[in-house]
Amino acid sequence: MTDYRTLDPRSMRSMRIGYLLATAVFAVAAVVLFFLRDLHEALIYACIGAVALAVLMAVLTIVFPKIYYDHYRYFISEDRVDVRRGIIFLTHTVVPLERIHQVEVVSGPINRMYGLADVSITTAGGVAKIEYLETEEAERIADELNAIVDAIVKGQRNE
Amino acid sequence: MNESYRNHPSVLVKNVGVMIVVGVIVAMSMGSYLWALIFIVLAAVSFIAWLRTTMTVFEDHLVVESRIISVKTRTIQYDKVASVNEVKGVFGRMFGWTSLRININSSQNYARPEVTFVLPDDKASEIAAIIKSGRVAVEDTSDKVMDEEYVPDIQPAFSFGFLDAILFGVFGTDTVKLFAAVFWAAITVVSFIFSAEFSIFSILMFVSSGLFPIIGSIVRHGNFRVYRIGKKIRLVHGMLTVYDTTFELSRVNAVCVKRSLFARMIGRCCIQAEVVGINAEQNSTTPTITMLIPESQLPRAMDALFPEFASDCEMSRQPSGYLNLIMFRTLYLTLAVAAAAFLAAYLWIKGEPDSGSALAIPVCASAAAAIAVLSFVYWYLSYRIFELGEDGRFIVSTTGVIDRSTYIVHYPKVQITSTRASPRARRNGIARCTLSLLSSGGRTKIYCGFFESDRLDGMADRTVSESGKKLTVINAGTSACTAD
Repeated sequence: MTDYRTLDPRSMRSMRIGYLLATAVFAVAAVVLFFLRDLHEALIYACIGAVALAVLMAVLTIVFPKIYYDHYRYFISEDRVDVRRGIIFLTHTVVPLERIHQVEVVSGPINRMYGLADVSITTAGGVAKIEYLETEEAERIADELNAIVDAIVKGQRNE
Repeated sequence: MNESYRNHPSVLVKNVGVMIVVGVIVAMSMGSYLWALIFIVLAAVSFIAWLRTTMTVFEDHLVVESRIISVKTRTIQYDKVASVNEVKGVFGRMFGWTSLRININSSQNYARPEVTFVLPDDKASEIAAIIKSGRVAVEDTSDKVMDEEYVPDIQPAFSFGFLDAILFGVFGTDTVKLFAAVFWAAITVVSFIFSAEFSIFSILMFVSSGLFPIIGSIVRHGNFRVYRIGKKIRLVHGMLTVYDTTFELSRVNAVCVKRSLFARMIGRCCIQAEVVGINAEQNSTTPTITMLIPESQLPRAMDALFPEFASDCEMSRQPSGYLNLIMFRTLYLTLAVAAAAFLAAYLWIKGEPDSGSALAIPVCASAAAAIAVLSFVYWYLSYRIFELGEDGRFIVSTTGVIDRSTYIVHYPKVQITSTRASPRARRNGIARCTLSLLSSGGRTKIYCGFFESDRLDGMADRTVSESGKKLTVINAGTSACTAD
């Protein structure tokens, strides 16, 4: 039985800030378009569109982070990284450890505020991510994956 | 070793210096110091980026860290490094610095190095030597003809003439592109008939979307010959420039049998392959192994060129749960296009009351209905056409409603498997699978249609268990065939 792990609860706050920033962008755009509405008729419709998007983003700010947090699962075993995530569409990604070429720990400014980081796993066929981990946990996972990859390569070398 | 390095100061001088110079020029020409301020800010950011980007060299790996806006820590094992290049430009030779470029086999950066660091000459050489000594010895898979294996009188497995090149240039291309070319040709003719003059725009569109690609394909694929020499495939083609490419079978990640709409009408197909390391400039799309051959010759062609990819797996169509999904997709799409059509009609009537009153509703309603009907027909046809099979060594996937592709993928070549399911799909126990492979163009994604979630999870498990295995390559001879 595989033990899937869940995200750190702080991830929801980090996600909310990201959505709030998007809401703010659309809100500012709506305000600017409102003041420019006399220049052209189309700007009125653009303003309405921006307001609608701002309202939509505000709703998503409340709803989506909880759903994403509830759906997000990951586990790392001796042979694979397995990540399940999504909001409406659920994605299940499997990466054999043998395929890993590079491991990266990335922490953006919002994540850094909450002590969170993402682990980005690069293979020859693409990138898989484990997101919103506690920074120490992310670094521990990165070290673990690098050690496993190193062991696999050394094993191949000895063959 | 455990030593940390920053980029050579020349990088700082280049980045910051360029920003300042450009900023001054722009400020002087615009007459505003605000522009200079913007470039000064960019220069400051470049300085911080230089200051906070370091590379630390360890015994068996290196770590590149950058702390600008995001904090990124990248770890690269030497054993995963595909190549290390030391590049000295003109200024590097004059002032003693070297650009160290490190490549891994990554689809993300297949066209440029994963890491580029500028260092003093001695340090760059030292680090390059450390990385190279830390790598596992790699089998030489350079794509050059091995003279000792090339026998002058060996016959090509397939050879194609000028007419075959024309046939391939016209019918081997994507159907949508062909229709676009025909469309623009028709517009050109119609505009001439009705206005007695040619539309320059339509001519340009026809030439760029149809004529040039077809002529380019004919010139590129003229005199096409394919050889199977032992464990290698050799392609020789080209009427003006001769392209001579040889690659090992071990670098083939997948074989694709492609049948465009018109190719199917004339009973023909072509074979392509997803090959790692083919020069992307020479073969900007998936490399062509054969041009259009009769369907009856396909088994012989596969046997001659890719016997390793022979697979007898049973193919199955998408389950009935997908029909349920199609119904709901059509319903959602109908609602969405109806709303868009209503908005479009409203704006049309508002903008042009005279013509809008008569035409807006019929035109917009017809367009919406056509989109909904065509979408349903497309999805229903995909239900009838898409197939999936696996036999433990290969995954065989047939997709494409208009242009059909059958991919034969060797399990260990799959880098990432990903399944995706909407709420409706989850209720029907189905999901859509995507296989990510490394190919000549970087990353190739093969979409497998909607199948049972359990089955797809089993495929994912199999890609993990098979990931260390190699394709059993047969040291085959050649058998001459002709495309009749």
